[in-house]
Amino acid sequence: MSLAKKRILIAKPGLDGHDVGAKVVAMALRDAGADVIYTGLRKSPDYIADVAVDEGVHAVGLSVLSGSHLSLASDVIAALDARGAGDVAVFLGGTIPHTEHKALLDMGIRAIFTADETLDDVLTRFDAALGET
Amino acid sequence: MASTPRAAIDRRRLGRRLTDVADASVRDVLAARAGGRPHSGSDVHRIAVTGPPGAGKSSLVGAIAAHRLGSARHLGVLAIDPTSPHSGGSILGDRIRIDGVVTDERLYVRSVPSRSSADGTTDNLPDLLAALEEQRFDEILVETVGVGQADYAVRQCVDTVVVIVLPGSGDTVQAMKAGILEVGHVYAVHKADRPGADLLAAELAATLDRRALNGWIPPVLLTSTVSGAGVPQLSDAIDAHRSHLRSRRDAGACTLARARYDVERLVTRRARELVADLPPDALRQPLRDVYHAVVHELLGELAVPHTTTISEGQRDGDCSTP
Repeated sequence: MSLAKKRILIAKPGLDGHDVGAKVVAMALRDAGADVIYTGLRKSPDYIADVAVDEGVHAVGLSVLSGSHLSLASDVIAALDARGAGDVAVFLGGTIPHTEHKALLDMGIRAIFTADETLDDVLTRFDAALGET
Repeated sequence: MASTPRAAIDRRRLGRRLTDVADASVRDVLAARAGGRPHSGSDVHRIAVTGPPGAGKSSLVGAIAAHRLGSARHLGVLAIDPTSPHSGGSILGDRIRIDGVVTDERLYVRSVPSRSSADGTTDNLPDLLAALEEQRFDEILVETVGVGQADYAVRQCVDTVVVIVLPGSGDTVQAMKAGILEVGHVYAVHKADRPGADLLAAELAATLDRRALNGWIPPVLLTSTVSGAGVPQLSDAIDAHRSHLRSRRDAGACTLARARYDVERLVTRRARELVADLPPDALRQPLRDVYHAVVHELLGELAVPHTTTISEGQRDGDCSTP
């Protein structure tokens, strides 16, 4: 799997305080050989973009359960662009209604993961989406 | 030298560069260094913070950084966390602690996995440090992986080593006396709000008092990031050690010691990779034959004839001897 040696930032933007999902995905990525940095809870899009830039990551995975995914995803993408890091792949996971997937993908989210798929599928799709640059 | 105007740090460029440097294979490193060594004669002060897992290294690094930023310094931090021996992946969690104490645009924090290094450091540490020094940080803090009794390789790469010990680890401290407790220039009895800190500090100080080398007696300080106690004193002790080094240290010996570490790390890493790739058939051969095969392979990789002759010469000193 090409996730080996990939640097991935797992981030919790906004105000929701649940990060079990983020941690499960972080550990699955670690077990797939990736180097995973976790931000901890309640981080701003600007902070997340700063860390992504300093850490030279290949991808950012956002975990959002609060319902604010549209604005938070858009803000993170804009913050990365503003720092010259628009090429960093941004992924989204959490409680994301399927009706909004298209809008999110259109704004530049590379792939969306929800609780109705297995970890193996998440890793496979993560890997594939990271490969298409 | 310090009066040179400082260009703003291009964090995006540095971030990407460090990713490339950390990923570099031995072959990549050799190619990148064909023109020479990373300069280590700079006046950037390198400070390592080391100690057992969970000792509070990251939080203390954050507290030290926050304090030292008070005098308008630009600081770089390399925070090393362990790589999984099973998957090769890692969770890099030091940053959460450091950022929990301080975020500042003059502070650059970089999380690094240990990769194949099992000595508390990481592969390509000399190159990572050199890449940071090119950015003209005033100081670089290196946080090691949580270490045991004999993981003190970091001392070959830095100027000042801060060793953290915890109250209640008295038995461990006894055992450590011949290892990591010989390499510190400053000792922090951390989480000093816990019982037993005073006693441990006194015992340590009594031990270290007899180990003065080149006129430096390592101070033992009580620190706590909960109360912030001892952090200014720790920072002052780092400065005092720096001054001491400037007056005493043989810069040539230091450069040689770093060069020795550099070569040793690359050779052992490549040898380890070759051994890991040995097919089962090869491993069934007599030990001497397998050994010879690995050395042969190692030599065969050198596409260009090497010009440096290795001979028994005068051994250099140890740059980090207190």
